[in-house]
Amino acid sequence: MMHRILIVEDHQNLLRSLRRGLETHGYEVLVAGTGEEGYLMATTHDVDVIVLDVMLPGKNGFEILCDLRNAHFDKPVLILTAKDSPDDRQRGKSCGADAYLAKPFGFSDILAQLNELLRQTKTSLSSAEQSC
Amino acid sequence: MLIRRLNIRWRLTLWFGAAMIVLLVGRSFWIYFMMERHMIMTTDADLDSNLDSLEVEIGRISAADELERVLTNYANNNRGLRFDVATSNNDTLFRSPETPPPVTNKFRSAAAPKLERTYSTNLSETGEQRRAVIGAIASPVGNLTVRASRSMQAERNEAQNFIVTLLATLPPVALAALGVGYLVSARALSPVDKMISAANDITANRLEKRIDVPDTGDELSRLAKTLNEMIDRLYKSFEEMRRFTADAAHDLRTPVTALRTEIEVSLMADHTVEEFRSSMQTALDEAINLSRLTEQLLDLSREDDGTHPGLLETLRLDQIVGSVLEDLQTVARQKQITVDTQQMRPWTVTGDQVRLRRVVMNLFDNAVQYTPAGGRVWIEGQATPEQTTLVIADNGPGIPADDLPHIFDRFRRVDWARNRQSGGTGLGLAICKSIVEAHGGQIRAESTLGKGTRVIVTLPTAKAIA
Repeated sequence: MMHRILIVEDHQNLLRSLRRGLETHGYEVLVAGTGEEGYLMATTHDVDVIVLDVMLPGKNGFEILCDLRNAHFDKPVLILTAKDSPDDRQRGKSCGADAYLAKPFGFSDILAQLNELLRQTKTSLSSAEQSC
Repeated sequence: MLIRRLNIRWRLTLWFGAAMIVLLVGRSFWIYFMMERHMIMTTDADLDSNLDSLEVEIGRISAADELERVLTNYANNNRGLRFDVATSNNDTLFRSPETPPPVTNKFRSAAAPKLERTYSTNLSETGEQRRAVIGAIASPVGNLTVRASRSMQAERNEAQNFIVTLLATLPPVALAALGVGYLVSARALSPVDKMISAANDITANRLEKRIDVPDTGDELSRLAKTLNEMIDRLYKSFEEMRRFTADAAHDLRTPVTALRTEIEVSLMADHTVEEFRSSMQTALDEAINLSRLTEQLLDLSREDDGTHPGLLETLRLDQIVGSVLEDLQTVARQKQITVDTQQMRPWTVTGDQVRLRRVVMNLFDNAVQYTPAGGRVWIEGQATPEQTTLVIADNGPGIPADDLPHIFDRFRRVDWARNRQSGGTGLGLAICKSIVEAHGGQIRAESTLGKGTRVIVTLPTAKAIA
């Protein structure tokens, strides 16, 4: 099954590279350049995981994540940030982030994180099915 | 100097002790001096009254042969008194027992005609201190000169005993003074000790703490206030530095991530030459971004350090503007932006050509970047003998009032997304501000949303060479 990933990132070059890399690895990739756009896509498309940058024009990544969780969006979210402070991590956690990746990272790092998040989702889904 | 190496508490103690000792010794000698004066005065009064009594006694005689009897009688009744009586011709008429003959007749002859009494302090043949008076008295047998003296040794011994006693008590008194001095200075300095430990406690990581200010309004409370103000300023500049470092790290991390990801993704699979070319272009864009950012960070840090060479020459600001316009005319034309300048007069300022050119370049570049195609950018200026003003204006979208006060802050951007697209680093205006202020000038901005922005730079006009 092809997983669908939504990337919300305002840095166009980074967004393009990530998209190209993930598509090469067999993911379907949706992209958004602003938080609002990202929120709209997450709530209107069926995505399996979101890669969400923190510093975005308009609403920042944390605010979008809170909005999504409030709207009962329960898919895993990987936060990308260039400000790797303990406060940021705490804020990300309290908003309901599942993983956290500090810039600068390599493509292999983000790929590993995404695979891990998707594997966890799969495990929890199958255990939920078993318990039913 | 050993005393300089001691702490203030001990120095105060020693100064206090030394002052006390000097005062006590001084006071002892002053008392001794006063006692001696008193002793001489009372002795002189005694001698005077003896002379008066002798005058009365001698005044009673009716014949010269009675003189010997009266004076012997007087000498017997006043044992401590030595005296002799002479005529105005210096013939000694009487000399009481133990009275040595006069060494010289000078005083006697000098005193006699004037009827004045002359006092002196002498040492007797036995080393005893005596007070003497020479005076003239009128008598039925003619004017007589009387020389009388009495010992002051007993009084002097008493005074000497007194001062010895005073000096003997000096060491214990001095010790007590040192002890009191130590206690007083310890008490006075204890708030300083507390302040020192509080200030020590406030390290680079705990700058949000403050020293307690005593509610006394004295020197110590002023010191605590001054220290707190200093810590406030430190705190602010530390916070600014921390924010700046975080922002700089943030702005360096994103292009590095983009560069790294682009290269990794390109190397993951086979690509066409076109795809590789596009990847290389992306990588190059990011490398350019990074080098621009690092260059600007370096510029800012040089401005902060004040390590710029700062060639202070007299410059023509209008010529700098002209040369920047020439360089950026093409960019403006590409964006279809009209650039107008008023007729420029020779505006002279003093400063560093390279840095002032960067200011004009950054401001003009900014105006062109933020003005949409078909817009207009214009430059105007005026000069008074005191200051030269340069205005770079555009009819772009303008800056919201909330953002306006912050546009010269480091990494402050009016619009994050727009900035990304235009490739700005958020440092250009901060660099302009640093450079203008280093030249003794000011920079500010006025803006109306939807109408445009004016950035106004004022610099001191170069003093004309007379």
